[in-house]
Amino acid sequence: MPENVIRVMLVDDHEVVREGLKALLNRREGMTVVGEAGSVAQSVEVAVSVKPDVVVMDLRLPDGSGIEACREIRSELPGTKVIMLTSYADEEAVMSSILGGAAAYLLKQTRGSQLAEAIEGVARGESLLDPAVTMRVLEEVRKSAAGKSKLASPEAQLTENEQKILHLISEGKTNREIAAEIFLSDKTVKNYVSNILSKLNMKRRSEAAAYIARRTSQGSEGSYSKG
Amino acid sequence: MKYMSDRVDSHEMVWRFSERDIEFLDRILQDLFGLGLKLEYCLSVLDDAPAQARLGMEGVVSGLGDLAEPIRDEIQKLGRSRKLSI
Repeated sequence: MPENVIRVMLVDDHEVVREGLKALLNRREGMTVVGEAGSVAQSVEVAVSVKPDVVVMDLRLPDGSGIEACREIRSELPGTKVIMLTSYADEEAVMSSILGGAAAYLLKQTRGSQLAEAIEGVARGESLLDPAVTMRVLEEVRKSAAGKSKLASPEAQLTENEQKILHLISEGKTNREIAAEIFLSDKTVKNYVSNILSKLNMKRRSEAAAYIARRTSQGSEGSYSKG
Repeated sequence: MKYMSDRVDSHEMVWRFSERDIEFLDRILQDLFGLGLKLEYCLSVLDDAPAQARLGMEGVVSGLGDLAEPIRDEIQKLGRSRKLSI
């Protein structure tokens, strides 16, 4: 294989999406698909084995989120670039993807040829945001700039939903109870909890609960809202 | 369960979306995106390899047929529950 060929890996639990992407990208000159995966666990395993230049990653995977997979792949292979490819322009997901080390965030309304161009750009070291999500990111950045003092506290890096869930954890609620209270599935709550722990650099939910209890006793609870 | 309301002919309609409904709609969306990519591939090889393009397009047609099936089932289920509520 020539040295300048971009080695791409596809992570999506929908086979039809992987097949379509694979056919299009393999036809593109200077690009080849070297690996595929349909879950977070599989994606890390395959990435470590094939060492791709670029990973095209779905956001929603059956065993977790693509952001989690992105973070893990980037920590194992810092030179590998990750493009998040999803159907939804959710600002929380966009911000978490950027913080998780993704080089690009594209929507599944992009044509295959545009995606191939994005892969080439990212492989050259560029970063890219779908025009449909740029506005949302700018809003988030403005909000962060407006509440700069909040950035001093570790929970300021949590999204609104994560802050809500952190508060419920501190009340001793289980994932199931939290899921029922905020109308999400147990699995989604589990993903949120692992993101929270990762962002706060903690291993157990009890540590998170103790952290909030400490913050409350210091009178700084006002830095997040239960909402 | 997620709720959305809308006014139809001055009557408030409340739509309930369960996780299952969202999963279902998401699957349809993913399949449509995948089939769109396959079609884009067929168009890109149409001049160089028409037989391959034709084969691919047949695959897309069959994929659309497969996709229509669960949608039809869902509509039938909705139709049945509507009749029950009347």
